[in-house]
Amino acid sequence: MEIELKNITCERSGVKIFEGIDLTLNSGEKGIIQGSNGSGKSTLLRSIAGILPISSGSIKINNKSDIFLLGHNQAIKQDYTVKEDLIFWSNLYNQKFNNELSKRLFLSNELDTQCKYLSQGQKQKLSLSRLICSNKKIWLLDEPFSFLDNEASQNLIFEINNNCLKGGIVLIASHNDLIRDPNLVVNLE
Amino acid sequence: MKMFKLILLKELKKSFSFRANFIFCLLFYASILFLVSIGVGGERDILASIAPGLIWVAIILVCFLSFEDVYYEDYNDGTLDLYLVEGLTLYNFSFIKSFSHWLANCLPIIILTPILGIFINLSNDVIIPIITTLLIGTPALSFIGCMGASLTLSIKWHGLIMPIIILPLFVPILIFGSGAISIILFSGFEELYFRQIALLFGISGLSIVFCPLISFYIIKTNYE
Repeated sequence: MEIELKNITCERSGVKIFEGIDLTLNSGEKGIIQGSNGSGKSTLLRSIAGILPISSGSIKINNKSDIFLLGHNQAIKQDYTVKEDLIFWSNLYNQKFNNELSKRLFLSNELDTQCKYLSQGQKQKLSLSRLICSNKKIWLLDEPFSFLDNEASQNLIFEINNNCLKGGIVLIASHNDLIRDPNLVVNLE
Repeated sequence: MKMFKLILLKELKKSFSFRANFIFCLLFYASILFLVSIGVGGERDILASIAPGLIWVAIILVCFLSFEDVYYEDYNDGTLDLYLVEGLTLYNFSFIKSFSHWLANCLPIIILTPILGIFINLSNDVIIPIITTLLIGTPALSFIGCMGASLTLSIKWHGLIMPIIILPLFVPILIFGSGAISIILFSGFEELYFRQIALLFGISGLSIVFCPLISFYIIKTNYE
Protein backbone atom coordinates (compact mmCIF):
# COMPACT_ATOMS: atom_id res chain seq x y z
CA MET A 1 0.00 0.00 0.00
CA GLU A 2 1.39 3.37 -0.97
CA ILE A 3 0.46 7.00 -1.65
CA GLU A 4 2.76 8.82 -4.03
CA LEU A 5 2.32 12.44 -5.09
CA LYS A 6 4.70 13.82 -7.70
CA ASN A 7 4.99 17.55 -8.28
CA ILE A 8 1.28 18.21 -8.00
CA THR A 9 -0.12 21.68 -8.57
CA CYS A 10 -3.64 22.86 -8.01
CA GLU A 11 -5.27 25.96 -9.46
CA ARG A 12 -8.79 27.28 -8.97
CA SER A 13 -10.04 30.07 -11.22
CA GLY A 14 -6.50 30.97 -12.19
CA VAL A 15 -5.30 31.19 -8.57
CA LYS A 16 -2.56 28.73 -7.51
CA ILE A 17 -3.62 27.00 -4.29
CA PHE A 18 -0.43 24.96 -3.98
CA GLU A 19 2.31 23.87 -6.33
CA GLY A 20 5.13 21.36 -6.61
CA ILE A 21 3.97 19.07 -3.80
CA ASP A 22 5.88 15.78 -3.54
CA LEU A 23 4.86 13.23 -0.98
CA THR A 24 5.32 9.50 -0.44
CA LEU A 25 3.75 7.45 2.32
CA ASN A 26 4.14 3.69 2.59
CA SER A 27 2.24 1.10 4.62
CA GLY A 28 2.32 1.80 8.34
CA GLU A 29 3.31 5.44 7.95
CA LYS A 30 1.60 8.62 9.02
CA GLY A 31 2.07 12.10 7.62
CA ILE A 32 1.00 15.57 8.62
CA ILE A 33 0.07 18.47 6.37
CA GLN A 34 0.63 21.82 8.03
CA GLY A 35 -0.13 25.32 6.92
CA SER A 36 -2.08 28.42 7.76
CA ASN A 37 -5.75 28.93 6.94
CA GLY A 38 -6.33 28.91 3.21
CA SER A 39 -2.98 27.34 2.40
CA GLY A 40 -4.70 24.40 0.66
CA LYS A 41 -4.57 21.60 3.23
CA SER A 42 -8.17 20.55 2.68
CA THR A 43 -7.85 20.96 -1.09
CA LEU A 44 -4.78 18.72 -1.07
CA LEU A 45 -6.60 16.01 0.87
CA ARG A 46 -9.65 16.23 -1.40
CA SER A 47 -7.39 16.04 -4.45
CA ILE A 48 -5.70 12.92 -3.06
CA ALA A 49 -9.15 11.43 -2.44
CA GLY A 50 -9.96 12.02 -6.11
CA ILE A 51 -12.76 14.53 -5.53
CA LEU A 52 -10.96 17.61 -6.87
CA PRO A 53 -8.95 17.61 -10.08
CA ILE A 54 -5.30 18.68 -10.02
CA SER A 55 -3.77 21.01 -12.59
CA SER A 56 -0.52 19.08 -13.07
CA GLY A 57 1.54 16.29 -11.56
CA SER A 58 0.47 12.79 -10.64
CA ILE A 59 -1.20 11.03 -7.73
CA LYS A 60 -0.64 7.31 -7.36
CA ILE A 61 -2.58 5.29 -4.81
CA ASN A 62 -2.43 1.52 -4.89
CA ASN A 63 -5.87 0.82 -3.52
CA LYS A 64 -8.25 3.72 -4.07
CA SER A 65 -11.22 1.83 -2.67
CA ASP A 66 -9.46 1.74 0.71
CA ILE A 67 -9.59 5.54 1.17
CA PHE A 68 -11.57 7.16 3.97
CA LEU A 69 -11.90 10.94 3.87
CA LEU A 70 -12.85 12.94 6.93
CA GLY A 71 -13.72 16.35 5.57
CA HIS A 72 -14.68 19.70 7.07
CA ASN A 73 -18.33 19.06 6.31
CA GLN A 74 -19.55 16.07 8.22
CA ALA A 75 -22.38 14.86 5.96
CA ILE A 76 -24.73 14.46 8.88
CA LYS A 77 -28.46 14.27 8.24
CA GLN A 78 -30.57 15.89 10.94
CA ASP A 79 -33.38 13.31 10.83
CA TYR A 80 -31.16 10.31 11.42
CA THR A 81 -30.23 8.88 14.79
CA VAL A 82 -26.53 8.22 15.39
CA LYS A 83 -27.16 4.49 14.98
CA GLU A 84 -29.12 4.92 11.73
CA ASP A 85 -26.32 7.09 10.36
CA LEU A 86 -23.68 4.53 11.29
CA ILE A 87 -25.72 1.65 9.88
CA PHE A 88 -26.18 3.50 6.58
CA TRP A 89 -22.49 4.31 6.18
CA SER A 90 -21.41 0.84 7.39
CA ASN A 91 -23.62 -0.70 4.71
CA LEU A 92 -22.18 1.67 2.13
CA TYR A 93 -18.69 0.62 3.20
CA ASN A 94 -19.73 -3.05 2.90
CA GLN A 95 -19.32 -3.55 6.63
CA LYS A 96 -21.79 -4.85 9.13
CA PHE A 97 -22.56 -2.60 12.10
CA ASN A 98 -22.62 -4.65 15.27
CA ASN A 99 -22.60 -4.17 19.03
CA GLU A 100 -18.96 -5.17 19.33
CA LEU A 101 -18.04 -2.39 16.96
CA SER A 102 -20.15 0.09 18.91
CA LYS A 103 -17.94 -0.46 21.98
CA ARG A 104 -14.99 0.98 20.04
CA LEU A 105 -16.96 3.96 18.81
CA PHE A 106 -16.49 7.46 20.04
CA LEU A 107 -20.23 7.86 20.56
CA SER A 108 -21.34 4.50 21.94
CA ASN A 109 -23.57 6.15 24.59
CA GLU A 110 -25.49 8.29 22.13
CA LEU A 111 -26.50 5.71 19.55
CA ASP A 112 -30.21 6.52 19.84
CA THR A 113 -29.79 10.30 19.83
CA GLN A 114 -31.04 12.20 16.81
CA CYS A 115 -28.23 13.92 14.95
CA LYS A 116 -29.90 17.31 15.17
CA TYR A 117 -29.33 17.27 18.94
CA LEU A 118 -25.59 16.57 18.69
CA SER A 119 -23.02 19.22 19.61
CA GLN A 120 -20.18 20.06 17.19
CA GLY A 121 -17.85 17.79 19.16
CA GLN A 122 -20.35 14.94 19.04
CA LYS A 123 -20.79 15.45 15.30
CA GLN A 124 -17.04 15.18 14.90
CA LYS A 125 -17.13 12.00 16.97
CA LEU A 126 -19.85 10.64 14.70
CA SER A 127 -17.68 11.27 11.65
CA LEU A 128 -14.82 9.49 13.39
CA SER A 129 -17.13 6.62 14.33
CA ARG A 130 -17.82 6.14 10.62
CA LEU A 131 -14.08 5.84 10.18
CA ILE A 132 -14.03 2.94 12.64
CA CYS A 133 -17.05 1.35 10.92
CA SER A 134 -15.49 1.69 7.47
CA ASN A 135 -12.59 -0.66 8.20
CA LYS A 136 -10.56 1.22 5.58
CA LYS A 137 -6.81 1.48 5.68
CA ILE A 138 -5.95 4.82 4.04
CA TRP A 139 -7.17 7.65 6.25
CA LEU A 140 -7.23 11.23 4.99
CA LEU A 141 -8.22 13.31 7.99
CA ASP A 142 -8.92 17.03 7.76
CA GLU A 143 -8.57 18.65 11.20
CA PRO A 144 -9.68 15.49 13.00
CA PHE A 145 -9.09 16.92 16.49
CA SER A 146 -11.46 19.87 15.99
CA PHE A 147 -14.05 20.14 18.79
CA LEU A 148 -12.84 16.91 20.44
CA ASP A 149 -12.35 16.64 24.20
CA ASN A 150 -9.12 15.24 25.62
CA GLU A 151 -10.40 11.70 26.02
CA ALA A 152 -11.71 11.52 22.45
CA SER A 153 -8.45 13.04 21.16
CA GLN A 154 -6.46 10.34 22.96
CA ASN A 155 -8.82 7.68 21.58
CA LEU A 156 -8.27 9.04 18.09
CA ILE A 157 -4.48 9.03 18.51
CA PHE A 158 -4.74 5.40 19.64
CA GLU A 159 -6.85 4.50 16.59
CA ILE A 160 -4.41 6.32 14.25
CA ASN A 161 -1.42 4.46 15.70
CA ASN A 162 -3.39 1.22 15.64
CA ASN A 163 -4.20 1.68 11.95
CA CYS A 164 -0.54 2.33 11.16
CA LEU A 165 0.50 -0.77 13.13
CA LYS A 166 -1.92 -2.79 10.98
CA GLY A 167 -0.23 -1.50 7.83
CA GLY A 168 -2.55 1.40 7.08
CA ILE A 169 -1.63 4.93 6.02
CA VAL A 170 -2.78 8.09 7.78
CA LEU A 171 -2.44 11.60 6.36
CA ILE A 172 -3.63 14.40 8.60
CA ALA A 173 -4.17 18.07 7.91
CA SER A 174 -3.89 19.66 11.30
CA HIS A 175 -2.92 22.81 13.16
CA ASN A 176 -1.96 21.13 16.40
CA ASP A 177 0.93 18.80 17.21
CA LEU A 178 -0.90 15.98 18.96
CA ILE A 179 0.57 13.40 16.59
CA ARG A 180 4.00 12.32 17.78
CA ASP A 181 6.79 11.18 15.46
CA PRO A 182 5.09 11.50 12.08
CA ASN A 183 6.99 9.88 9.23
CA LEU A 184 6.43 12.92 7.05
CA VAL A 185 5.56 16.58 7.49
CA VAL A 186 4.41 18.64 4.52
CA ASN A 187 4.35 22.39 5.01
CA LEU A 188 2.09 24.33 2.67
CA GLU A 189 3.16 27.83 3.74
CA MET B 1 -25.78 -1.75 -7.51
CA LYS B 2 -25.78 -2.11 -3.73
CA MET B 3 -24.66 1.50 -3.34
CA PHE B 4 -27.35 2.60 -5.81
CA LYS B 5 -30.02 0.79 -3.79
CA LEU B 6 -28.77 2.09 -0.43
CA ILE B 7 -28.67 5.71 -1.54
CA LEU B 8 -32.06 5.43 -3.25
CA LEU B 9 -33.58 4.03 -0.05
CA LYS B 10 -31.95 6.80 1.95
CA GLU B 11 -33.39 9.41 -0.38
CA LEU B 12 -36.86 7.88 -0.18
CA LYS B 13 -36.66 7.68 3.60
CA LYS B 14 -35.74 11.35 3.69
CA SER B 15 -38.53 12.25 1.27
CA PHE B 16 -41.20 10.38 3.19
CA SER B 17 -40.04 11.49 6.63
CA PHE B 18 -42.47 13.55 8.67
CA ARG B 19 -40.78 16.87 8.03
CA ALA B 20 -40.41 16.25 4.30
CA ASN B 21 -42.43 18.48 2.06
CA PHE B 22 -44.08 15.71 0.07
CA ILE B 23 -47.19 16.00 2.25
CA PHE B 24 -47.31 19.73 1.53
CA CYS B 25 -46.87 18.98 -2.16
CA LEU B 26 -49.88 16.67 -2.08
CA LEU B 27 -51.91 19.24 -0.18
CA PHE B 28 -50.85 21.93 -2.63
CA TYR B 29 -51.93 19.76 -5.56
CA ALA B 30 -55.29 19.06 -3.93
CA SER B 31 -55.68 22.77 -3.15
CA ILE B 32 -55.09 23.82 -6.77
CA LEU B 33 -57.72 21.39 -8.07
CA PHE B 34 -60.13 22.33 -5.29
CA LEU B 35 -59.71 26.09 -5.72
CA VAL B 36 -60.13 25.91 -9.50
CA SER B 37 -63.28 23.84 -9.09
CA ILE B 38 -64.67 26.47 -6.70
CA GLY B 39 -63.54 29.31 -8.98
CA VAL B 40 -65.27 27.84 -12.02
CA GLY B 41 -68.39 27.23 -9.97
CA GLY B 42 -70.99 24.69 -10.96
CA GLU B 43 -70.02 24.69 -14.63
CA ARG B 44 -69.26 21.01 -14.92
CA ASP B 45 -68.65 21.15 -18.66
CA ILE B 46 -66.09 23.92 -18.30
CA LEU B 47 -64.33 21.98 -15.55
CA ALA B 48 -64.22 18.87 -17.70
CA SER B 49 -62.85 20.81 -20.66
CA ILE B 50 -60.00 22.40 -18.69
CA ALA B 51 -59.24 19.27 -16.64
CA PRO B 52 -56.37 17.93 -18.82
CA GLY B 53 -54.41 21.18 -18.81
CA LEU B 54 -55.26 21.82 -15.18
CA ILE B 55 -53.90 18.46 -14.01
CA TRP B 56 -50.60 19.00 -15.82
CA VAL B 57 -50.19 22.62 -14.75
CA ALA B 58 -50.92 21.60 -11.13
CA ILE B 59 -48.31 18.83 -11.30
CA ILE B 60 -45.72 21.19 -12.78
CA LEU B 61 -46.36 23.75 -10.04
CA VAL B 62 -46.10 21.09 -7.35
CA CYS B 63 -42.85 19.81 -8.84
CA PHE B 64 -41.32 23.28 -8.62
CA LEU B 65 -41.86 23.22 -4.87
CA SER B 66 -39.69 20.17 -4.51
CA PHE B 67 -36.82 20.82 -6.94
CA GLU B 68 -35.17 23.52 -4.89
CA ASP B 69 -33.10 21.41 -2.52
CA VAL B 70 -32.57 18.30 -4.60
CA TYR B 71 -28.77 18.56 -4.71
CA TYR B 72 -28.07 21.53 -2.46
CA GLU B 73 -27.90 19.75 0.90
CA ASP B 74 -25.78 16.80 -0.22
CA TYR B 75 -23.36 19.08 -2.07
CA ASN B 76 -22.90 21.50 0.81
CA ASP B 77 -22.88 19.15 3.81
CA GLY B 78 -20.14 16.91 2.38
CA THR B 79 -22.33 13.88 1.62
CA LEU B 80 -21.58 14.07 -2.09
CA ASP B 81 -17.83 14.13 -1.32
CA LEU B 82 -18.14 10.89 0.61
CA TYR B 83 -20.20 9.27 -2.15
CA LEU B 84 -17.56 10.26 -4.71
CA VAL B 85 -14.78 8.79 -2.57
CA GLU B 86 -16.78 5.56 -2.49
CA GLY B 87 -16.82 5.50 -6.27
CA LEU B 88 -20.36 6.71 -6.99
CA THR B 89 -20.33 8.54 -10.31
CA LEU B 90 -22.01 11.92 -10.65
CA TYR B 91 -24.19 10.41 -13.39
CA ASN B 92 -25.52 7.76 -11.02
CA PHE B 93 -25.93 10.34 -8.27
CA SER B 94 -28.01 12.56 -10.57
CA PHE B 95 -30.03 9.56 -11.74
CA ILE B 96 -30.78 8.46 -8.17
CA LYS B 97 -31.80 11.98 -7.18
CA SER B 98 -34.12 12.37 -10.17
CA PHE B 99 -35.63 8.90 -9.82
CA SER B 100 -36.23 9.33 -6.09
CA HIS B 101 -37.80 12.72 -6.81
CA TRP B 102 -40.23 11.04 -9.17
CA LEU B 103 -41.01 8.24 -6.71
CA ALA B 104 -41.51 10.63 -3.79
CA ASN B 105 -43.27 13.52 -5.48
CA CYS B 106 -44.87 12.54 -8.78
CA LEU B 107 -45.98 9.00 -8.01
CA PRO B 108 -48.10 9.95 -4.95
CA ILE B 109 -49.75 12.68 -7.04
CA ILE B 110 -50.53 10.20 -9.81
CA ILE B 111 -52.03 7.80 -7.28
CA LEU B 112 -54.08 10.62 -5.78
CA THR B 113 -55.35 12.00 -9.10
CA PRO B 114 -58.31 9.59 -9.55
CA ILE B 115 -59.58 10.57 -6.08
CA LEU B 116 -59.04 14.30 -6.55
CA GLY B 117 -60.59 14.00 -10.01
CA ILE B 118 -63.95 14.39 -8.22
CA PHE B 119 -63.19 18.12 -7.82
CA ILE B 120 -62.79 18.62 -11.55
CA ASN B 121 -65.53 16.33 -12.71
CA LEU B 122 -63.32 13.60 -14.22
CA SER B 123 -65.36 10.72 -15.54
CA ASN B 124 -64.41 7.15 -14.68
CA ASP B 125 -63.79 6.28 -18.35
CA VAL B 126 -60.79 8.59 -18.61
CA ILE B 127 -59.09 7.69 -15.34
CA ILE B 128 -56.91 4.95 -16.85
CA PRO B 129 -55.80 7.01 -19.90
CA ILE B 130 -54.97 9.92 -17.58
CA ILE B 131 -52.97 7.73 -15.20
CA THR B 132 -51.14 6.22 -18.19
CA THR B 133 -50.32 9.67 -19.56
CA LEU B 134 -49.08 10.86 -16.18
CA LEU B 135 -47.00 7.73 -15.59
CA ILE B 136 -45.31 8.17 -18.95
CA GLY B 137 -44.90 11.95 -18.89
CA THR B 138 -44.00 12.83 -15.30
CA PRO B 139 -40.55 11.16 -15.28
CA ALA B 140 -39.53 13.86 -17.78
CA LEU B 141 -40.64 16.53 -15.27
CA SER B 142 -38.49 15.02 -12.52
CA PHE B 143 -35.40 14.45 -14.65
CA ILE B 144 -35.53 17.86 -16.37
CA GLY B 145 -36.32 19.60 -13.07
CA CYS B 146 -33.41 17.93 -11.27
CA MET B 147 -31.15 18.98 -14.12
CA GLY B 148 -32.32 22.54 -13.47
CA ALA B 149 -31.65 22.12 -9.76
CA SER B 150 -28.04 21.22 -10.55
CA LEU B 151 -27.68 24.56 -12.38
CA THR B 152 -28.30 26.47 -9.17
CA LEU B 153 -26.28 24.13 -6.98
CA SER B 154 -23.86 26.64 -5.50
CA ILE B 155 -26.37 29.49 -5.20
CA LYS B 156 -28.21 29.47 -1.90
CA TRP B 157 -30.85 32.08 -2.69
CA HIS B 158 -31.69 31.14 -6.25
CA GLY B 159 -35.35 32.12 -5.98
CA LEU B 160 -36.94 32.18 -9.41
CA ILE B 161 -33.80 31.47 -11.45
CA MET B 162 -34.51 27.76 -11.78
CA PRO B 163 -38.21 28.00 -12.75
CA ILE B 164 -37.36 30.58 -15.41
CA ILE B 165 -34.70 28.29 -16.90
CA ILE B 166 -36.74 25.12 -16.65
CA LEU B 167 -40.26 26.25 -17.46
CA PRO B 168 -39.73 26.45 -21.25
CA LEU B 169 -38.47 22.86 -21.20
CA PHE B 170 -41.75 21.73 -19.65
CA VAL B 171 -43.84 23.17 -22.48
CA PRO B 172 -43.63 20.11 -24.81
CA ILE B 173 -44.57 17.82 -21.92
CA LEU B 174 -47.52 20.06 -21.08
CA ILE B 175 -48.65 20.14 -24.73
CA PHE B 176 -48.45 16.41 -25.35
CA GLY B 177 -49.58 15.44 -21.84
CA SER B 178 -52.71 17.56 -21.76
CA GLY B 179 -53.21 16.97 -25.49
CA ALA B 180 -53.35 13.21 -25.00
CA ILE B 181 -55.93 13.53 -22.22
CA SER B 182 -58.00 16.01 -24.27
CA ILE B 183 -58.11 13.61 -27.21
CA ILE B 184 -59.48 10.83 -25.03
CA LEU B 185 -61.94 13.18 -23.33
CA PHE B 186 -63.36 14.86 -26.39
CA SER B 187 -62.69 12.88 -29.56
CA GLY B 188 -61.96 9.40 -28.26
CA PHE B 189 -59.66 8.94 -31.26
CA GLU B 190 -57.30 6.31 -29.94
CA GLU B 191 -54.68 6.44 -32.68
CA LEU B 192 -54.03 10.10 -32.06
CA TYR B 193 -53.91 9.43 -28.32
CA PHE B 194 -51.25 6.76 -28.80
CA ARG B 195 -49.23 9.13 -31.00
CA GLN B 196 -49.19 11.73 -28.25
CA ILE B 197 -48.30 9.04 -25.72
CA ALA B 198 -45.44 7.90 -27.97
CA LEU B 199 -44.10 11.46 -28.12
CA LEU B 200 -44.36 11.75 -24.33
CA PHE B 201 -42.59 8.43 -24.02
CA GLY B 202 -39.81 9.72 -26.26
CA ILE B 203 -39.40 12.92 -24.25
CA SER B 204 -39.30 10.98 -20.99
CA GLY B 205 -36.84 8.45 -22.41
CA LEU B 206 -34.50 11.17 -23.65
CA SER B 207 -34.78 13.01 -20.33
CA ILE B 208 -33.99 9.88 -18.31
CA VAL B 209 -30.86 9.24 -20.38
CA PHE B 210 -29.54 12.74 -21.02
CA CYS B 211 -30.58 14.90 -18.05
CA PRO B 212 -28.37 13.03 -15.53
CA LEU B 213 -25.56 13.35 -18.06
CA ILE B 214 -26.02 17.12 -18.26
CA SER B 215 -26.28 17.29 -14.44
CA PHE B 216 -23.05 15.30 -14.29
CA TYR B 217 -21.20 18.01 -16.27
CA ILE B 218 -22.85 20.86 -14.37
CA ILE B 219 -22.01 19.41 -10.94
CA LYS B 220 -18.50 18.57 -12.13
CA THR B 221 -17.85 22.22 -12.99
CA ASN B 222 -18.68 23.08 -9.37
CA TYR B 223 -15.71 20.94 -8.35
CA GLU B 224 -13.29 22.59 -10.78
